[in-house]
Amino acid sequence: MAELPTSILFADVGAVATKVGLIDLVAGHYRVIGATRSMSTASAPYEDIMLGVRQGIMQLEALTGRRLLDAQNALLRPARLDGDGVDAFTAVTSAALPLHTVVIGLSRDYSVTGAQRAVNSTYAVVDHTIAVDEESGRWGTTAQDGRAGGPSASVEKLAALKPDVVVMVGGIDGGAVAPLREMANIVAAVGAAMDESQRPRVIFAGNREARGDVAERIGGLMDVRMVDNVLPKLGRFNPGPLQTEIETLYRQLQVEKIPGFAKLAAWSESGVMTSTDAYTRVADYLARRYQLRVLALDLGAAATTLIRADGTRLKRAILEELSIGYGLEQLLDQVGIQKIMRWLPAPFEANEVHAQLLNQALHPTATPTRWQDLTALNAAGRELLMHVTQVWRDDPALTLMDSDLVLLSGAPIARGSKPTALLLMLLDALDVRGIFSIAADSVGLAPAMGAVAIVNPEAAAQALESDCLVTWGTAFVPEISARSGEPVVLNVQVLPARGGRLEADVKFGSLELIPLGEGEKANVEIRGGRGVSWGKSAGISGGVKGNEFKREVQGGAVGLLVDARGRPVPLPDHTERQRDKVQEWMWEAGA
Amino acid sequence: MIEFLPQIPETRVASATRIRRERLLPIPGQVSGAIGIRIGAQDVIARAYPPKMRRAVSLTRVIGVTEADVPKRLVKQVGDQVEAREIIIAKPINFGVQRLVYRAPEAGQITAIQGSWMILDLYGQPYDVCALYRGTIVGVLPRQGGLVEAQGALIQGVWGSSAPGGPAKEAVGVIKWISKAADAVLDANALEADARGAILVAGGITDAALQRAGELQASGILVGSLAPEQRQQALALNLPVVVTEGFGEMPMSASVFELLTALNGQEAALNGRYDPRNPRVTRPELFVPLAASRMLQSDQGAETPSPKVAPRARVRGLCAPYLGRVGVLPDEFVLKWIATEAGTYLPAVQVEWQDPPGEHDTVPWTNLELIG
Repeated sequence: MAELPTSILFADVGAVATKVGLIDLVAGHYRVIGATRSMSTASAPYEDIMLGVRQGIMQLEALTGRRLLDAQNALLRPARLDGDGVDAFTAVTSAALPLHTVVIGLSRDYSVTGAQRAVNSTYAVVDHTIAVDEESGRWGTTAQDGRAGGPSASVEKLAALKPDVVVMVGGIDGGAVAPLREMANIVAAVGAAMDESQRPRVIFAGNREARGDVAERIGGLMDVRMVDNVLPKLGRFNPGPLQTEIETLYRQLQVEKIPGFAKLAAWSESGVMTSTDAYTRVADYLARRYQLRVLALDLGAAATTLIRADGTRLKRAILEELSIGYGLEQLLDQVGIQKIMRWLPAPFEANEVHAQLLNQALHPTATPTRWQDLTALNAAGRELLMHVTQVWRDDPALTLMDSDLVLLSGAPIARGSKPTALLLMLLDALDVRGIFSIAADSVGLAPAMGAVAIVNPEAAAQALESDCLVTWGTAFVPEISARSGEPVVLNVQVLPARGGRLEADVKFGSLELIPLGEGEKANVEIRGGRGVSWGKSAGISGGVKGNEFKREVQGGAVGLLVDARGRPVPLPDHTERQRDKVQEWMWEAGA
Repeated sequence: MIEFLPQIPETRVASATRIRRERLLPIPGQVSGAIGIRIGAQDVIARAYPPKMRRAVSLTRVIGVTEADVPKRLVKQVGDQVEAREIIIAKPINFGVQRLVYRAPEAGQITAIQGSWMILDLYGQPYDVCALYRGTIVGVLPRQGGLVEAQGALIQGVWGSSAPGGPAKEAVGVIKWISKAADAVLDANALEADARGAILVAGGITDAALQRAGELQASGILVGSLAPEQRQQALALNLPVVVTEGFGEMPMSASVFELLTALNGQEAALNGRYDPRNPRVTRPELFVPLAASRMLQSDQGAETPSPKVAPRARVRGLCAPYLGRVGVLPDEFVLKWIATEAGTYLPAVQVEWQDPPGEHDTVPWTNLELIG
């Protein structure tokens, strides 16, 4: 068996920042011995992502005193006896533009929704959907009483767009073929009317019996790819093959067109993964390794990613164009400034906050230095998370409530917000209940570890846990019935392993932060009053009996945070009371 | 102390530079320019004929026939041009006494018939791509457009009102400063009929003036800043609006103000395209071509060099409280870690502000850009 590389240089080329790091053995353990962050250089005037990568490597050379590039700026490989050079290079990227798609299917509730969900889990945007079952008169009005029918507005909208990909779905395997023939005619006609150079690719992920008809009608005009049905049987959703095909097209049509991509790919023998694929591997690894239900979030400058992994199932959503960087403009358009203002603890001027958020979208590389600016960004982060988690609202098989570990990565951490402020942001915005741990990708390197794992899994795992992930602590979020009526709902006793004892009565509607440092453990006993329950999550992770909880838990950079506000978080309607309440919660949480 | 200076963004604000810009059609068409040809800003270099509308019709439904019957019922075929009211498909009804017909709603061309579906493109106005930048065609992309090289003054903006996927908003006009101050806000009262065809320049602008500029058919608007709620108003206007600093109340930065003052009254091109994630799209910008006589004489030696990280390099703040401020890097500088008010630690550099001169601040390196 070939020897695994021990010194590994890795790069994560994002839309805004390029991160470069170096892993090597330190006293028999793989560690990240240095990492840098520089500006991404895909756009003019640079138009070559390798400039940013090389800048990062040169910074790393200055940081570590180790030579990594030769005189021609090529990678020194393999590592030399004097310590210069590296054995391997891996790369991930999220710098490409998203694919634009149109989904056309027979049923809104089944095939179209299913396909849309599959597309949303990739770097693609759904610009338009057509569902046959809800089109008035199906495909335009029909001849009647001696009068000719009319055109189809829905197809005309499709014909006016210029998608990269048309996704065709519909029917269960073995079902009726005729409606799909009709769909194929539509797609073929729309494609034929376009200039050959602008015709979209077509992916057919519907009733497999219709493949021949679809190929016959579309194949001569456009690049058609057949994949397994997203809905082979009623009630069986099969998104995998469609997702894989979209990802293949995304690589061909967008990733490989990133300026300088070919040079990056030439450096990386294991290929260049997308950042989300790599981060998904990390979430999956954590779910399997520790048998946890993991909710991993990446609040990037260009996109927002949600991943849910429980060791058996993986699910993800990528929200392109809605983000805490470039996507702030869209976020403001979709949710409005007033919703963001309700999360601010002081009487900021709406106009100033609005302007600041728009300016952050113009300059996503900038790092706010004033408390009010960071607070406004975190307020926008709350609305962003509340908005994007809605993509899973119609999936009955999935709930965010029962997560054991929430992992946060991305721009809010890079901008240097306090962990307590970000932890409170997560509690305010995510409907996760029960008892769960919260960890952060403290230096933004976690996604890159998904690619490092390809060349050396042990190195990736050790570096991830030693140098990338920081445990913030444990959150306790009981469900509290509104009719509880009691002022004190939780009695908390904490017995740290180092000795001592802490006790607190937590009132309904409040938060309590209990310090318990990183690496520390404590036995925690929480007695809930009337109307308190811990939900399904705590039942699975153990320690819950009735409305009481008793178990050893881990501390972290924040500690233990008891949230007795109930769910949904009871934000008052009145502006001043909102502000007072948010301020109160921030004080209580140490944010 | 940090010895290595990472790259920072840059904005070109240059009195003389050479640029190359792709001028492309949204759909394939005809390119009329050729390499080496000198062109004026308003010269057409490519033309396409996008349909006013793509009519999508189910031929089986509009007259009630089967797909197999469609070919024999068609009166017109793919590629045929049709006049308004001309019959495209017909079938006999009432024992052959009458015909049920589908007529073209307007003049157009049948661009596709696939099985039961037809796409009829209704004729629209030709779409022209003009050079916008007065200069020379240095490349031709067949059926798409050309590459134009031009020399002149360039001011890059940070935001433009021509959003991705929307119509291109660009214009040529004479630069018109209404009230010459970097923080002067343009009011509707100051706009008169001579605003027509002009590129209006101001530190800021009122809602009423934005609307009035549209009504008076100004060519475009270049402002230092817009109020955040004016963004939607600017997007809705049918003319390019370019912002040089950002959103909120802030004056035009010193570098931009100085150059624009010198360019007042000259003919310029204003390009409002804004798609920051797309590396193929240039930033929104104002370009003033050099006079033809100077263009002949000019060479690269006369151009403003691209800004570089160096002592005395001009920089501009990207983030509050320094957003839009212009200064220079000191003669000798290194990055030092500083603690910010927000509680973060960032590498920073001392900047000597020029607006007004004499002030110094230590500014995080990531919150600066090169300007020049």
